[in-house]
Amino acid sequence: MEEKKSGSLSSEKREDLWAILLALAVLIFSIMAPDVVHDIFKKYLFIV
Amino acid sequence: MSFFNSMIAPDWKKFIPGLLLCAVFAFVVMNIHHLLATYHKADAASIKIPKIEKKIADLKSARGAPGEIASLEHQLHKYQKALKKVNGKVGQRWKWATFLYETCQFKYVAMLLIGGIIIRNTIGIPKVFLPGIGIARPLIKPGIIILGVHYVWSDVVKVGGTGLILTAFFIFGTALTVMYICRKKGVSDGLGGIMGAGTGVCGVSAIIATAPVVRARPLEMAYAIGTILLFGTLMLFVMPYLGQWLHVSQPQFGAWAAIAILNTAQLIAAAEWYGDEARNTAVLINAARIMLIPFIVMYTVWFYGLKDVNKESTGVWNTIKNKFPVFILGFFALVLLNSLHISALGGPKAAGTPFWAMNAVYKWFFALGFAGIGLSISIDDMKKSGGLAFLIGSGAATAKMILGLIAVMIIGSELLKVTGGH
Repeated sequence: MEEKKSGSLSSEKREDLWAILLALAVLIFSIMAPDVVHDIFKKYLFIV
Repeated sequence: MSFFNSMIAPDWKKFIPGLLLCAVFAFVVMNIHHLLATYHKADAASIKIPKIEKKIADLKSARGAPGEIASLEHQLHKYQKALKKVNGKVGQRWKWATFLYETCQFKYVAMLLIGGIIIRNTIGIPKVFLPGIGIARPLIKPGIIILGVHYVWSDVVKVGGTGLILTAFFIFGTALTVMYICRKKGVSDGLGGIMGAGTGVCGVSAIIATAPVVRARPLEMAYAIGTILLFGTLMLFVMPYLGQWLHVSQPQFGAWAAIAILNTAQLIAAAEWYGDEARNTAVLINAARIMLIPFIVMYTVWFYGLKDVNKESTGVWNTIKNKFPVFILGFFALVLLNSLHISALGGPKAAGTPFWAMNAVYKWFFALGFAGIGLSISIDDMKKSGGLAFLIGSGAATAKMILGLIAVMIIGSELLKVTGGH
């Protein structure tokens, strides 16, 4: 367990904020280029 | 600036090797899953194509309903496409794929978990990978947020409301029972408190959240976490098969798992293993139940009558602020966007739209998280569970599982089914 220092984030809060940022990044990329995002994760990452 | 600095762990470099290992493991397993799924679909198509063709011919000769013919032709086209993917012919069989994928339910979740446990406990994992493996588990969280595109607010009110009442009843009931029996049997307040909170809600997170409040010692934390992980791991592998054997419907399984499996990652793994509908229900009920973590901390404070612990840990607002799982706000933000039916965002099944693209991503986050879970399950750590508190905790968790099954059977599927607005 990570102790929370004053002014810094606990490890759990940091994980949560990173999760939101990652999901936001996926949303932004999906708005900009939905077909590219879809094809990367549904086609190109499968090599067999 | 200090906020941005605190977003990055000072020793972030130590996480890289483990994260890369999880990424490689997830990549290999997802490709095996894809291969099995492709050949299983082709195997099913090989059997069904002649039957559908005959049905279409019969309907056409009897001048059947055009709608029914069109629907069968659509199905036929899908099966032909599945067969074409493996360059197969009608009559050709891939029974091995159907056996592994359908009969044994050998999907990516099972492969990552079982494979991870085998790797960890046989060939072992060098220490350099361990911090990164630990940090891979929370990567399930962005996956959960993205799954928000599958829900609308009516689902949240219907399924989330039912689930919240159900889980609140079981959470506080289990926590109270465990804490009461532990106190009666002379188990220390530290161990009884974290075991009660842990078996009541969200396992490890609740133990970590309540430990400073009841002043649990590190060894007591190891006992409680060991018990929760051991029970959760057992349930993760037993419940999907038990559910199939008892003919539990997918939404009912999702709710049952959300009551019985304490750890978020293990819950999502079991529900995803059981099927998409089970996962949708489980994710929504989990979103409702993890919001109860701050309240279980306050409940523990109340139960043990703790007055002299430091104010930061016990103040109502501080407890809610510190223990509230912030990421769940991202999930609800996406549910809100999906509920507004904004045409520019589309939906998870509307090809070419942003939400359709996002829907392709979440399984990869889950795969990374499940790789982290599998590779971090150490049998040696589980041996740390034991003693009277283990018996009480496991007994209460088993009782919760059985009573939870009865409850979801009484409630039925309809109230627990996620519609996604359809």
